[in-house]
Amino acid sequence: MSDVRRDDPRLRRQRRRERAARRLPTNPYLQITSMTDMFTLILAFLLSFYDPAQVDAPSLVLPSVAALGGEKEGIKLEVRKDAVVLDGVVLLPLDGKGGIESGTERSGRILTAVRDALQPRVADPAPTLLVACDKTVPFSVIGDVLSSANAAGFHDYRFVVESTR
Amino acid sequence: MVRRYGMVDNGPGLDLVPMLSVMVHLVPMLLLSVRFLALAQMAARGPVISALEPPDAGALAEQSKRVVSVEIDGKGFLIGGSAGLDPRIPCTAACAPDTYDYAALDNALRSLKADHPDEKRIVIAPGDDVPFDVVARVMAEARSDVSGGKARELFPEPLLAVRQ
Repeated sequence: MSDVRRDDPRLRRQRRRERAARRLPTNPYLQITSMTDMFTLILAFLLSFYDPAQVDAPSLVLPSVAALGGEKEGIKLEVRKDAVVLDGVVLLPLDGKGGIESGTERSGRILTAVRDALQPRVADPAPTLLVACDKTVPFSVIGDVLSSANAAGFHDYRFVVESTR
Repeated sequence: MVRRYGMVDNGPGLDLVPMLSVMVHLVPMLLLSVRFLALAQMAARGPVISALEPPDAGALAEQSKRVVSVEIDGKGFLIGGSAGLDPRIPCTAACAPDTYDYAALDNALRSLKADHPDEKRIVIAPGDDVPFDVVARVMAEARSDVSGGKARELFPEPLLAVRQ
């Protein structure tokens, strides 16, 4: 009788299932590693673009115009209220209202610091100069910056604006 | 096939819950402070300054009839290139970026395009005190005219004049 029960295939399968169930891991923790990975990436992405100076008193507010334009890569020059910045490096501090401080080295309308910083970046053909200007900056400053870029060898430029279309 | 047998429980690993909790607070805070913008680029060229002899008054008068231009100053716009138009478009109130008469400028530019159908260039000459906001809007108006949901090209190659 006991031999018959031992050889019963249904009982053998049941015993095998019970043994397997005892061996299965019983981890009570939620697997959040992938979620943490994802959040780490998002956080790193957001922190790399976060600029606390732009939150309270932004020094670069682009004008909003109904413009469409094909995007092109180029050298990024920013004319902020407080500085002229080339690829994140301050070339020339401004007076905070978009005016050029007296005593700035210049030759006519050409700002020496801007021209000298742009000159080594000229290649053949000259790359496009992407100019992002704060909307309150007077044209006198932009004219000086463009004249300096012209003297350095940049003749084509593109203004970056906020599109309302 | 998933291997169900032989899985080993290594016990509790690094406790990531506090880290995740910090991130769940930081990510929405940063997302709220982010301002998403649709950016566009407007191409322009700087004026070429030549060392040639300046033209006489007659040649300048002839040139001013041919060259399409918009001068921006503290009183409004001054249109060049058309004999039939009143060249002065004053501001609607004390001149500020929002009080320049962009609608009248748009009409004038359409009329100029009718006079110069093959012309693609326009000279934009802003005064020194004019804020960039006004210059950008004039450039956008000069590039294309949007009416009835359709955009028509006007003067897509603006030249910015910088006074010496």
